Amino acid sequence: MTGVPSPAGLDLRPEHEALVATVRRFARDEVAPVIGGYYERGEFPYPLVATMGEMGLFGLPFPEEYGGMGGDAFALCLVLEELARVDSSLAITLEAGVGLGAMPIHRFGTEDQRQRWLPDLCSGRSLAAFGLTEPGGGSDAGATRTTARRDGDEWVVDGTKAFITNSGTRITRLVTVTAVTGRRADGRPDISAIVVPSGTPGFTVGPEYSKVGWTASDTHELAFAGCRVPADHLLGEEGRGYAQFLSILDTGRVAIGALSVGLAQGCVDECLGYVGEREAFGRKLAQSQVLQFKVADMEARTHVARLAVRDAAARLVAGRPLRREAAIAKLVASEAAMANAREATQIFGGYGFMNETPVGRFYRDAKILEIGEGTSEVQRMLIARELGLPATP
Amino acid sequence: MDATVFLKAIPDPAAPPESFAFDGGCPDTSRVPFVLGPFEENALELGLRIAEGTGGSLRAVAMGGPEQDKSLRTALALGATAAVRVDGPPSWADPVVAARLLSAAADRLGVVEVLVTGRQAGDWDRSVTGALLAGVRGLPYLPRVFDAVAEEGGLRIAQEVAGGTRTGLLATAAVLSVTNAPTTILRMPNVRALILATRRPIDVVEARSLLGEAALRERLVDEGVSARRLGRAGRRVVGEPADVAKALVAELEAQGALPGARP
Ligand SMILES: Cc1cc2nc3c(=O)[nH]c(=O)nc-3n(C[C@H](O)[C@H](O)[C@H](O)COP(=O)(O)OP(=O)(O)OC[C@H]3O[C@@H](n4cnc5c(N)ncnc54)[C@H](O)[C@@H]3O)c2cc1C
Repeated sequence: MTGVPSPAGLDLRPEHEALVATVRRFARDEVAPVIGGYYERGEFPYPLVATMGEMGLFGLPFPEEYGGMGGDAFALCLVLEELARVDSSLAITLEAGVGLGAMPIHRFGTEDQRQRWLPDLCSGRSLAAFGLTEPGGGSDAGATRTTARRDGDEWVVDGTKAFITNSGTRITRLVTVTAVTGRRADGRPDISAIVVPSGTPGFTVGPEYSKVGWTASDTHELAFAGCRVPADHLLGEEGRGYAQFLSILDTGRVAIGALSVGLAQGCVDECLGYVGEREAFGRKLAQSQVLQFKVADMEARTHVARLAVRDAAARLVAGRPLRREAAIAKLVASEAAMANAREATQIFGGYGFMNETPVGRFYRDAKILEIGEGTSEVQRMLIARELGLPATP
Repeated sequence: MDATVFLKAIPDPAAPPESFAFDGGCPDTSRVPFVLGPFEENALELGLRIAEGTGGSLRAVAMGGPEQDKSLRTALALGATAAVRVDGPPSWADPVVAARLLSAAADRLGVVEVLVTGRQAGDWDRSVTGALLAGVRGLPYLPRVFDAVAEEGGLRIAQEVAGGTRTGLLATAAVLSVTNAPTTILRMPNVRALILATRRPIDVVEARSLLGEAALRERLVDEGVSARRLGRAGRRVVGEPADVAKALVAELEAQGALPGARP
């Protein structure tokens, strides 16, 4: 795609419009009718993921030479928004597959690593995961305990990773893990990123977590015990892993923001339909000004969140600094999603508490948006740092 | 075997009601997004299958304003080799004139053997264009086709008939009018092809340059549309399953949609 997209999205470019229309059709015709079942069963929706692969969604922002679609991060955000408007499990599967799985390989990999891994990941035949969080902590990513020591032509990885998305599907090909590979003179750890292919001896995938939301997505604890991978599985420079994943997370935050906008919009869509139909005290709910104000607030939050996310996504495409804007986008969008899900559930009354209604799913899916890829507190810390406020203990 | 598919974009049936306005009896669709009609989706899928199965090509034709271009681009993204749009006539033009225009536009794209239309347009539900197109071209007309498989000597066609299925071998040029079935669900385009299709040219041709002014003169003057029971469109029925079923039956009866029922 050429040129920098309009941040406010006043006029989407024709290719973006076509993309949105197509993904909207996919979400409405193929996802919506079946996703509730996958969600209830806690089952990974392989057939839907396969269709998304055929559509090229997993290769969207990558160059064609690696099997990508030649799109950009803005296009990916539009796709995530449309998917999450109907279902967040699929949206996070795509976001993690592209943003956390394939993107580090594209951004930091050698030409050989890109050629080796990207074509399969771009086609959606395989998924990759990114293992940063550990049972001991996620926000303080510098406190990584997992280690990787060099032994001849190999890295030996030891440690545990927690809550890793896309890490245990039958099409997961690899996990990139962050690990301490040495110590600096001042005692701080040198963190590096290492690719561990699925099935490597010493790499164990734990059972699927029982989650509150995103139940049709795949999340596992991973254990590494004397797990050996070839030396050329180091991703990027040794000791640069911390800086690398900070920049990956900046990008990921914009994508989670887009997912949040989709969920917030889904709540508006559902409520508009419901208040026009449901009657109480002899009139439609839509005739109650209290409920009109709730829906109006939901719409306003969604609109503001969309502007923030599209602004950050446009910066990403333009190669402009975006740490502040990405943190703001993720913060306002995830909080808008949570607030909308809470209000939508309230508007639906008892039906809102039933898993069979989309708003029931939205309610369960919204909370993690304020936690994953940096909690709301972490976003506020980042914004404060960008404003020049001092680090606090 | 080369095929031409005729596509029509219609106001999105899933668009929120507030995007529709009625201006003096005629629907004002300027704020409504347009989408490919449901039976045209089926026609496009079958056209693609015919082209792929026979090693031929598929071309796409539409009629109307720029709102039709998205559908043509979907066809291009899915593998159509060329697209033409007849610009000018309103969508409710005399169906005979429409069929003649579509036929003339198809000829601009080259000789074709199979002409594929949707069973009926999703906006006016008239179900006439395919048959009229066959009449204009002097070709056999096959209604309610849901499958077409390439075989030695032609295309094995499957059609829906009352209470069953009819199959036959088509060895000549014909017009197929396509219905909805699992075999005609439109595939999802690849996003790369979608992006590229937004940059492909669409041949826009003036209606009058195809048929001349005289042929286009309105013979029927449209005086507007009155929408019956518009306020009840799209009602959602919620509640206990047994109550919902009763309410649905009552609604269908009230609309005259059940056999023997009077609206
Ligand atoms: C479904 C799911 C999928 C996930 N997928 C992945 C994945 O694919 N890869 C991956 O690496 N991780 C993944 N995660 C982990 C996620 O990113 C972390 O849970 C998140 O970053 C928070 O880390 P934590 O859970 O360790 O919380 P902690 O870091 O322990 O934080 C606990 C609480 O303390 C607050 N807090 C911490 N420090 C401060 C401070 N200095 N000031 C103020 N408040 C503070 C936090 O904001 C939070 O509210 C996933 C998590 C879930 C639930």
